[in-house]
Amino acid sequence: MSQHDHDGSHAHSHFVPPAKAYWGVFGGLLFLTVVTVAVSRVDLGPFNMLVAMGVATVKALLVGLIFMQLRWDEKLNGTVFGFGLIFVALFFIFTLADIFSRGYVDPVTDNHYLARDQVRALEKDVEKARGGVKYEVGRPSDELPPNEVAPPAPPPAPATEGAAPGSEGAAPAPEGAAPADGAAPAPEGAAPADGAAPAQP
Amino acid sequence: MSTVVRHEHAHHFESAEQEFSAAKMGMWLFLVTEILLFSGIFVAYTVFKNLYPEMWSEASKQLDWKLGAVNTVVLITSSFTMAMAVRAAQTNERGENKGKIVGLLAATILLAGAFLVVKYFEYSHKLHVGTLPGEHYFFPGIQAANAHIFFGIYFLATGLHGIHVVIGMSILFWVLLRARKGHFYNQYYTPVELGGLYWHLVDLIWIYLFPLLYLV
Repeated sequence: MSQHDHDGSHAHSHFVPPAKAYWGVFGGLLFLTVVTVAVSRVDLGPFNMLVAMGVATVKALLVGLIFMQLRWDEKLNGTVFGFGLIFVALFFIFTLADIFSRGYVDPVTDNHYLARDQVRALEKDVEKARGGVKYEVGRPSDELPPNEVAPPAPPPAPATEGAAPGSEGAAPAPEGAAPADGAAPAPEGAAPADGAAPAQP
Repeated sequence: MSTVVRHEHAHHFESAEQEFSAAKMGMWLFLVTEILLFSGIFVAYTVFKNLYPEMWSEASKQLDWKLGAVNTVVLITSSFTMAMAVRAAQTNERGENKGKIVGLLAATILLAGAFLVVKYFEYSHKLHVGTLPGEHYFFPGIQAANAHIFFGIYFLATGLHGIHVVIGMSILFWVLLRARKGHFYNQYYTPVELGGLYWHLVDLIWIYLFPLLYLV
């Protein structure tokens, strides 16, 4: 690159990966896609998720190391990315440690929601906004006395809805699910106890 | 054969080499923020999947894994053509690879478009049957409660990913236009390289989204 030597940057320091490597990765990714689909058709219980994530991670490594050339790149770029992943791990660890350990130390009371109570609150919120039943699709009907639900009324904006500035969008959350519920699933009920807490006061 | 347009590195860099390294590290930093952005969705996924395991697998079965698999193959292929485009630029000495660069970029963009077409059919089906987030959910076919949460996360994840696909297409189109003018050759191909990194990240995210959403 004759004319371009004034900056002394023979970019030749950049390794050009052989095309073979790319073809190989391409084939490998397709193969692993078949594997992950095939494995998902077989019921391995909890191992399904494990295998799926394992395969995905191998695929991600192939893309990262070869397609994105991290393997041949300056170490700093890989390090930067690695640190990013550490923060992702922190994000997971602290969030999950919180959500799935509630009730381990102190029993869950009205003021200490189980994570799923928040969801029930949301559900009721939406039901109220719709003035009816639509929302409990699939739930056994005796859990939800429809006549107790507020009249259709002007929809008071379920939290997410921007349209009506309904000042109380947020309000239903606390009052709804928690109080009646808290008692039942006291022992870290987070995990299984599903239908257990229908609680419609 | 056409020749190339020589690139002069910006004056605040010592060399083209330094300019390239700086740009590339900046891109990696940006990609980290992208991963963090998506990790919010992945965390939410993990939380709600574990709160509602039965609902989760029931709702997930409403997705058509075949369409998901097709899109996975499409994206992997586009990642491959992208990598080859970067390689073509890296080995382009005096414009002899121009057609190749442009062609591979065009292929990548077209595959991205194909991905969106498949996505369009998936979305319109969901709009039709009511497997939708939050209060818009009206699908009668799932027994478990709270399936709207699954579809909330589905739409958030694939929607955000889809936005990235569109952005990636736009960036690559810009790169393509410049490639046609002969801007990229073995001493200067930063935009191809960085556009490629972005595109691979889009693929990377999908590699996780596909099994998480379609195959659980």
